[in-house]
Amino acid sequence: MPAIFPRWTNKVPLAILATIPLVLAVATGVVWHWFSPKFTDVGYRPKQPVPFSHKLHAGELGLDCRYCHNTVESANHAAIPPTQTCMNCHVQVKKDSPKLAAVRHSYKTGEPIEWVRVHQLPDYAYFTHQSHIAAGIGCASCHGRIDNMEIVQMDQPLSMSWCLDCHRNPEPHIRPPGEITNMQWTTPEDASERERIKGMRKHKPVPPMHCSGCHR
Amino acid sequence: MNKPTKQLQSYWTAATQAPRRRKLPISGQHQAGEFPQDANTLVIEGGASRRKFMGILGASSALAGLTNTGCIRKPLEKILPFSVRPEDMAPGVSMYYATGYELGGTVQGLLVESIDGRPIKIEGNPRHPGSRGKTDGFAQASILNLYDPDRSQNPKSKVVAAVDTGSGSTEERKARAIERLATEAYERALKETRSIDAARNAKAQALELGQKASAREIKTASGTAVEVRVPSKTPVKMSWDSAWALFDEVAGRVASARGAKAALLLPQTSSPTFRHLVAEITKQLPQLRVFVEDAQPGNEAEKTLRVFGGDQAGAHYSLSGAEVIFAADSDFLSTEPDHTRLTTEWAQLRKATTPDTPMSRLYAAESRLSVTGGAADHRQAVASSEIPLVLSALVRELVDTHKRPIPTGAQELVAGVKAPEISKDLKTFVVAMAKDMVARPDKSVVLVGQRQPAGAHTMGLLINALLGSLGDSQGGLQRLRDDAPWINAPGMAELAQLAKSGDIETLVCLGTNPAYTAPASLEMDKSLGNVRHLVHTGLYLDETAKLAGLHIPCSHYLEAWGDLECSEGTRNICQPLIAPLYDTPSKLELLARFLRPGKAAGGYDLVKGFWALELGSAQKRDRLWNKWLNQGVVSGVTRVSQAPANKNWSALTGALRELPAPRSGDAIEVNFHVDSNLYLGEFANNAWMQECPRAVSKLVWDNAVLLGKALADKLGVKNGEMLTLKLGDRSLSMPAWLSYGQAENTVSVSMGTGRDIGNVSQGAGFDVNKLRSHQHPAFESGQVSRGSGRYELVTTQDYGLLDPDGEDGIGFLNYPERPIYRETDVAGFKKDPEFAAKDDLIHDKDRLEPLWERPKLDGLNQWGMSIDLNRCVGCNACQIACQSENNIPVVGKKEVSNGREMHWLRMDRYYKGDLNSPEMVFMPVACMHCETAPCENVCPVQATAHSPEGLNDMAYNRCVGTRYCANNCPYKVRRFNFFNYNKDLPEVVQLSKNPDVTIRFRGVIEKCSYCVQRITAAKIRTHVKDESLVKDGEVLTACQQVCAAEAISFGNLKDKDAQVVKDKASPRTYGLLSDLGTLPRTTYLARVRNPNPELS
Repeated sequence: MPAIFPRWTNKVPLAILATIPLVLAVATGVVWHWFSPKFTDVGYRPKQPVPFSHKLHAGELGLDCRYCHNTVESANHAAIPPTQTCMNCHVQVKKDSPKLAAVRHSYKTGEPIEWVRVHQLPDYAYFTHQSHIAAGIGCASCHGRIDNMEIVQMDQPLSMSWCLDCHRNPEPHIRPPGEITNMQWTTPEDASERERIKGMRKHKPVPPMHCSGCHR
Repeated sequence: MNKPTKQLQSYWTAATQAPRRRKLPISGQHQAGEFPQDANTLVIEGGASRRKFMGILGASSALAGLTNTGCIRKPLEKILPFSVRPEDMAPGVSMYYATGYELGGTVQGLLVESIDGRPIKIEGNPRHPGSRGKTDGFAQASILNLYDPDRSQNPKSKVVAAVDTGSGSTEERKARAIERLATEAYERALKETRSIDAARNAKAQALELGQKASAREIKTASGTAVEVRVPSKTPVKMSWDSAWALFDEVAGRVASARGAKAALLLPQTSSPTFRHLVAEITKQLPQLRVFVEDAQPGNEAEKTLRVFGGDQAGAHYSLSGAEVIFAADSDFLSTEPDHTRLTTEWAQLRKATTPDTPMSRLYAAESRLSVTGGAADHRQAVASSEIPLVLSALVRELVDTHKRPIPTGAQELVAGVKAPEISKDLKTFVVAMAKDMVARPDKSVVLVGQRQPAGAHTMGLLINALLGSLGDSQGGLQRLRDDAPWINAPGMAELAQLAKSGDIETLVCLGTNPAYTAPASLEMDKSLGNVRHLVHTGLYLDETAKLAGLHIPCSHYLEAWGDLECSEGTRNICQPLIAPLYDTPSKLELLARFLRPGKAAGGYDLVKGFWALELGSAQKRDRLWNKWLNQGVVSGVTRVSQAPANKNWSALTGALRELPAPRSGDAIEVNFHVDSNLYLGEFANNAWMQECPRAVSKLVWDNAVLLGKALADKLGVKNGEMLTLKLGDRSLSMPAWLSYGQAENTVSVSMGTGRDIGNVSQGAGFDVNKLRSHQHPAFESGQVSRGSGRYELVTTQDYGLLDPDGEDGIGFLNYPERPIYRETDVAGFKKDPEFAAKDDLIHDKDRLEPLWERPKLDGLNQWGMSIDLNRCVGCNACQIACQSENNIPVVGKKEVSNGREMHWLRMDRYYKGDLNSPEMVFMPVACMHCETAPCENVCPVQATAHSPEGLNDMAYNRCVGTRYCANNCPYKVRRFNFFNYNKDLPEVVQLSKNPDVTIRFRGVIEKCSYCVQRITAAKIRTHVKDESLVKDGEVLTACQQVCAAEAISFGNLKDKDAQVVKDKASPRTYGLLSDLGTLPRTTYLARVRNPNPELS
């Protein structure tokens, strides 16, 4: 009786068996890399209604972050400043610049400027700026070198595992209170210096690692 | 195993279970087993079955895969900062503003939490003596009325008007106005009938009518406008300009006639500015008739006091230090005026910290078992018409047996009180109570309920005077005082009479609703039909508004400036929390406009203007004013409040003669009560209140005829079967509901239901005002007979029972051997202080090994709660507070009947003892935060886990909805979102949600979190201040914060000075089902009754 299938078909099951793990591995790899916030979120840089440059304001002019984001130490939100804050200076500086048309319009009419949110956490994650600042976590730790950014972009993935990495071991990120907004600050090499910084607070911060620390 | 030492006690929830060893109880239509009948069915709107649902689910997920929506990063979100940020405001930060709330004579000072300009949560103002930082459930729920999408938003009128504000000649402007009128008529008809023909007809008709009508010029906010008016049969939407023009016209006409043939119907209010304006109006319009709507049916207490002490006499109770209290038909822990303050004061002497702590004793006599009856040490079920007999017996006993000194001038009155014929039981009760009272002179008081006739209030005053507890504004348990000046207005009966005879041509109902609240015997709708110009203003397009020629929507109290005065004299300024959502005026502003037609006055100016009279120099004025706003109480200007100079006892003699006649043979007394949830209908469209189980009956979304077991057997009715009530020529069909402890041959119904003012109120309950008469507003004798048919009543109490008696096998929750609720009396407590622990099934604690490993509890704070069952009265305020704080959805009657209500905190009610006069106890149950939580160990995805601080956390986003945790929870406190209850909420309701708590979606479990958002906020505050531990009292859970009886304490168990630690150290502490080894963090303090040894 002649064979229905040619002889080479005997190898097909073997080939399938061999490829399945490969496909699975590739699929896992794809999801692992391309679906993770490291890939999807880091570098996210939406266009804003006003071409505001942090590089100019925070970098070259050296404005302190808290001049504009003034609720950061007392509230959950660092808060985008009201138009009035812009106009504190821009009634005198560059008062006719076409780039500031939207700001002037907002100030005149009272309508808000519609900024696009860059650092977006899910609604069920309750992040608070004030406790991180109080613990000595600097702006740059999460937001990166804002002073070098012409347009603000996401510097870190802001994913849960990324949060927990720091919550499990916050020490390398803790700064002296005076250095919170310093963009150039780096963790000192010297262990005793790190100890000194830790001792600046009476009570060691206890970053939560349980669900209700951030979700409620 | 050690045997329990105490005599076994059996608690029950419904009659069929009570005697024991019967099949599980039946309630409503469904079987009350562990699960209600339809608990496992899924009904989708439109009638899809579970199978179809799975099909839809599969198809939609396939579709979701096809579209690329899943691949986009995250939805684009905008941030809209202020152009100019208000001072002191930071985004997302809670601000608290002081204001006040008034309902039925109860004034409570409030602190309202506002986030980003939205009022979110109501709390009591600790500085205000009417609330002392607590509130009742009504105040809690009132915030939902603000965000009610069914609130009236536009003026409506039976006159259709269109205005044109443009330029041109009058003719041109008129033509444009007519054109607008016609277009609006077209759109309205199209929307209502969905027929183009009808719409065209309406347009043509409007054009025709418009041509005939004459145009007139009116004043608007921005100049003048031309207006054209045509009549309409039904009320239609109107512009604010036209409505104001119409209102001014009415007010102007009244003013020019100096008030002749006109009347004003006002709400009962204590607001000084409001009263001042009314006084001005009556001065300016001497012929105007002013009526005041009854705050409570009857209002006999107030009338009696005026006869007794003059036109300004008022009185209030104070229970501080009261050792013997007799509540005569007075539900002072739930609905009577000042209930919040009275509950706090009463609870002070119910602490039972040690066996020797002095405790007060509460006697109650009432027709319907109320929460006050449940809290009482001795309760007698007495028909309301027989309460005066009990009081007369008490008077005679005090005078004859105990020879109490008779107050000067009261001899004649005392002589008029005849010794009544009462049953032997009742006699014993009165004799023992009198003896008890006399032993503690001036620390004993009788509280007579608002429902009682003048004769009962007369005797109440007399008894308190005999006991020496009738005092002036400074002392005494019942304090007489001179009220702030207020008109002595005639009642609704006179209004109905005058309107019917055509003597009233213009009637302005200012926030009042006579068409609903007036008893049916007055035939108010007919009377109102006789009024040519009926103007109604109010929160809803209610029964009166539908009859009115002009309806103007009013502001909610959180949108308006105002002021209030609470019963003991403290005054406060009410400031608005938010600008009116719909451009509405407040009642004050309307009243001012009525006084000065055409002149719009702001509420702020009116209130400040009034208070300027009381204040001194301008500089001092502003400082004081700001202080008042900040603190929520008026200070620095004392109101001289004196007790009425003369006590005219002899004038009261007449009231004794008007006592209700004894009932004839088979007549049955029908009692009308203020609803514990809806009040007199103010909360009929409030979904929280409708769904909150009624305090005693535990019914939701309905009212029913409450009747005792004996009467039900006699009539042969079961729960849910229809009854016909007949009073005179009025009759009503309503379903029956068994109410244990109802007085013999009486039935009780609650008011406030059966309204149609919005989606929530529709079809919820029966309107019993149709049965009431004005001669007997609170109770009347009549006939009750069996009707035909059934009605589905839904209750939350009778399911969730896990084979309580072990009939089907394992006596798992065997009540008698392992009491859920534990109690003793004072003697028992003295004999054995450790009584509560002895009720545990397993006493050898070494044998009590937890089933699971104890989690690592190394947090700085260890949270725990203690609930004192001795002080909890079951008023439900905690349940509403929890709902408000934690964004708990409302599911509707149908879903509650399937056992799917979402309350994180439930108030369990158990009966004990005899079927006809049982004792009743309450037990608030929420998540126990077990240290070895059975729920955590069965979750396949770790969505519920333990925090190092002892919280049983719930991560909604991890939950996949297996419901294993709910099944494994012995306390049945986990709730499952069967539907996406929050998805389609109207925008305005979304505003009411607390932004600090996640809005849960379909398919996840939720439960009490110990208000983790408040804990976290306190921890952040502590951390920012660089302190170590959260201070005691810094975290108040919503339920603890609201509790007037201060029954709940919460805090850090590691803090030795914390109140919760002190409470838990009490020998009365026990854990619910702690034999399971769950190590619950919430524990209870067993109840200690204080019965009179002579009566037991």
